[in-house]
Amino acid sequence: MNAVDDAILDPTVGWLVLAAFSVIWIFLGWFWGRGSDQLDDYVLAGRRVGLALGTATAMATWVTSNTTMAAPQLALQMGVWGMFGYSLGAVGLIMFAPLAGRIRRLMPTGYTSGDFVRLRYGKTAWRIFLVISLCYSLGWLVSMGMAGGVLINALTGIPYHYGMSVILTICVGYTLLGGFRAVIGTDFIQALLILVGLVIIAVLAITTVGIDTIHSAVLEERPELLNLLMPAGIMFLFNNLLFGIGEIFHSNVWWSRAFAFRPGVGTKAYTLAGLLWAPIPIVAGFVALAVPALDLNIPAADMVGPMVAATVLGTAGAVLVLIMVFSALSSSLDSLLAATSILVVEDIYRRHIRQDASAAHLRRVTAWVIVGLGVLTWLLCAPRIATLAELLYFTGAFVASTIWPIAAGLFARRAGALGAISGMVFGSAAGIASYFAIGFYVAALVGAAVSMACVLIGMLLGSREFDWGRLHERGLVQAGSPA
Amino acid sequence: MPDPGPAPRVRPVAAALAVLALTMSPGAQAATLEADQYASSEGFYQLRWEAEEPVRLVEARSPGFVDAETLYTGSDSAHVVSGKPDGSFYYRLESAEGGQVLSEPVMVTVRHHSLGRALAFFAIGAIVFVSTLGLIAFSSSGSDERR
Repeated sequence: MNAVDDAILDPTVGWLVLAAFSVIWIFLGWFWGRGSDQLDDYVLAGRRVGLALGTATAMATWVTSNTTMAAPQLALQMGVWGMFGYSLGAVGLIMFAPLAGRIRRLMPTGYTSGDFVRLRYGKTAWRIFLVISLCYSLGWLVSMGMAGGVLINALTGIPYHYGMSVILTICVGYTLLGGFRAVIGTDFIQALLILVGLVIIAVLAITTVGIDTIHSAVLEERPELLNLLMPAGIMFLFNNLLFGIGEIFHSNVWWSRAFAFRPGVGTKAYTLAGLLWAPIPIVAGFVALAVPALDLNIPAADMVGPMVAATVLGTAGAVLVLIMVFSALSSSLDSLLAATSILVVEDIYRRHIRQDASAAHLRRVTAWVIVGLGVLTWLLCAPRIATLAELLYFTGAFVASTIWPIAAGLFARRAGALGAISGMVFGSAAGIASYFAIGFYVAALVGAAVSMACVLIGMLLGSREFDWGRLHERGLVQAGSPA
Repeated sequence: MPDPGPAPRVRPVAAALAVLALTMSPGAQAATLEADQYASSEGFYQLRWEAEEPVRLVEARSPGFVDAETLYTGSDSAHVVSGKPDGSFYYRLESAEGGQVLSEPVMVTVRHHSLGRALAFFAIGAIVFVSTLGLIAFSSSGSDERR
């Protein structure tokens, strides 16, 4: 159901913008993908990504459609704490900085986060972790595909299935052509487009409406949004922070970058990316507070950002939003496709099915898995299940339960398999229970707290100390081996 | 066993009220209005409706709609309400032109979580966050990977 009566842009304009950027991304994918014949080149950009590209790809990937749509949505729903709390997602990137450096040192030939959990905690923990990670990745992929279809439909009137199909096809296309190198290169351009667009929209919203007008209208019509003691907002703060940490600590999207960055780059890149990302949700969220002053009807909370931009800027604003959203969706979808494909190939195909597979064979399988993930995502997006956005919130309980197994696994020698397994299982269960009993804004928090308790108890009771050398696995596919 | 006494006196009044209600809402079938939740702990919810014509969505603090204020007029079919303080809020649809009532009223009650509960979750979150930060910071500074 489209609760908005009319689309903001003419469909022809929408098709032209989509066509132009589709051609650009596909060309860049082909251009950057030339010569990526070896497995390490294709899936980890040769492990030679520098600081500028590293920072841009981390930041752009973290600017998802969730940032451009959910930050204004949370500002509209939870006010000041909503947008400030969302910006705390930057803490996850900054806290991952020391982890990225350590991952690169401990596992110089590693491929996935699954590799780490398998070597650190054994096969049971590894398989539980894989279920969590793959479900989360698929949920994120599907939510991105659906968001693309919904947003393109709302902005241009282009039917949902066409918009969703276009964005999935383009992202699969250039990821397939260029591999991880294309993902990182396009992320750099997409990050610039998103930042410039966001600044233009925020500045024009403030200068057009005026901060005094915005403040007085919110105070009169939606007073709780400015209440710093709004209970749900207070509860949301650390929940969102821990959700973000959980997403980043466990997901192969971020681990694959840690493996791909040159030695010494990861820590700096993630710190800079976090600092650059932090203001984005505040800027994006702030525009939502202009709704009462603009006397704008918001039919669905996640449409507030695009609708304010289009109202303030007219057709030009809608085109700008379409470009930004297309960039944000692409930068996340391509990263997810690349990182999830290598997780599937390394942790499921190679470790469970073909342990003797050659690098050349794995390179071909990776390409097929990218296509397969694209098709699977399309099939799950096609019915347009309205509750999938809620499903993503639901995953907060699961991913937050991996924070302590990952962090303690990387830094504490006494962290053991029992603590990690119970942390992921009981943390997830407690998080889900709180999701239904209280609300989505406490699920990750409760999941992380219970998981931490389990891991700490495991460390207190355990007596064995882990030998870090066991993480330095000599895999079948060595860096630089002929493909 | 129920007391049959007052019934004869009440029935005519109830019948008159029912007739009055029907008269005041002749278009009860003309539009349907619903909320995605009728009890909110956060002060935000979505109102959705189906109507054949442009509508006016009004909000009031009393069931009689004597203090009604217009939230939206037009052809959209939903409206997001947010930033509401504790209390009961009443909504109904009217025709965009004449103010004719088109839908049954809908009541949403907002009761925020207690501040004590919110601060308890805040404290738990702070403990988990500081502990995680401490684990990483202390372990990073005294890295034992070479041992």
